[in-house]
Amino acid sequence: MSDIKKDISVVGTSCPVPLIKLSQAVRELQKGDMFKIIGDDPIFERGVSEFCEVNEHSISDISHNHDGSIEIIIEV
Amino acid sequence: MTDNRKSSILPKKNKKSTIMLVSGELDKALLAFDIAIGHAAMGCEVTMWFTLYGVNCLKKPRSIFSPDKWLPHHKNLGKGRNTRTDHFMQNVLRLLNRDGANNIPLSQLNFFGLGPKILTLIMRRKGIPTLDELITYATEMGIKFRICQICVDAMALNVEEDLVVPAEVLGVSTYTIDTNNAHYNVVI
Repeated sequence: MSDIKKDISVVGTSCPVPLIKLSQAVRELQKGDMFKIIGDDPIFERGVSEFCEVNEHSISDISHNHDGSIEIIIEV
Repeated sequence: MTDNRKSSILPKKNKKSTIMLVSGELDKALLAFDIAIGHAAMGCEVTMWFTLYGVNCLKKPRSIFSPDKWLPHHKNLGKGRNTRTDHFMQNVLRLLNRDGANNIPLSQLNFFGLGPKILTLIMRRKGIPTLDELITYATEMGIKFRICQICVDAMALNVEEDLVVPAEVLGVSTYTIDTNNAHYNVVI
């Protein structure tokens, strides 16, 4: 796994803020870059995976933490 | 992911959507901005149209006690059709219209202005973006704001000074082109 270029946290925010932050982060990065997003919204995982399917990014890794937050590593 | 979900995902081609806001209530404005920002975040090109009371949420916040609201408004001194604010009832309409995202009422359970404040408090507690924040996000996401010309004339709106976001004043021809090119149209 290559190094992570960006690390954004959307813990405590609700829909649609995670999607806004995600799309703003994707706009700044180039194709092939990896970045990590952490969130704890109940529909966060589904939202990020649908965003990645629509905009043709790939999800490298999803890990669930004990405190309910979800870490997702995305390849732009 | 299952196969039946894969087929429901939209293909990536420049999708467009238009959202028209007619109502001046907080719940409907929140809904319109949530939809618009969601579409913009998913990669659609969004145009928001505002007319009549929908413009109220884009105005600069001013209370009814502000002297700016009571002063007569004389702008648009152009030639041609009478677009000038020349009837006192236009100024009364301008006075009675709510200004700003913090001052607009709810459509239900308004409680004489207490309802929106309670709702905003609950939304802050839950981490849900309020209307002010949604308008800021919308400008960041590059959503186009367009206002109807007849609304500007009739309700004595000063487009350069009254609004918190840059907006274009356009007519029904542009609206027709926008809606016919878009894949998603709503009027709220």
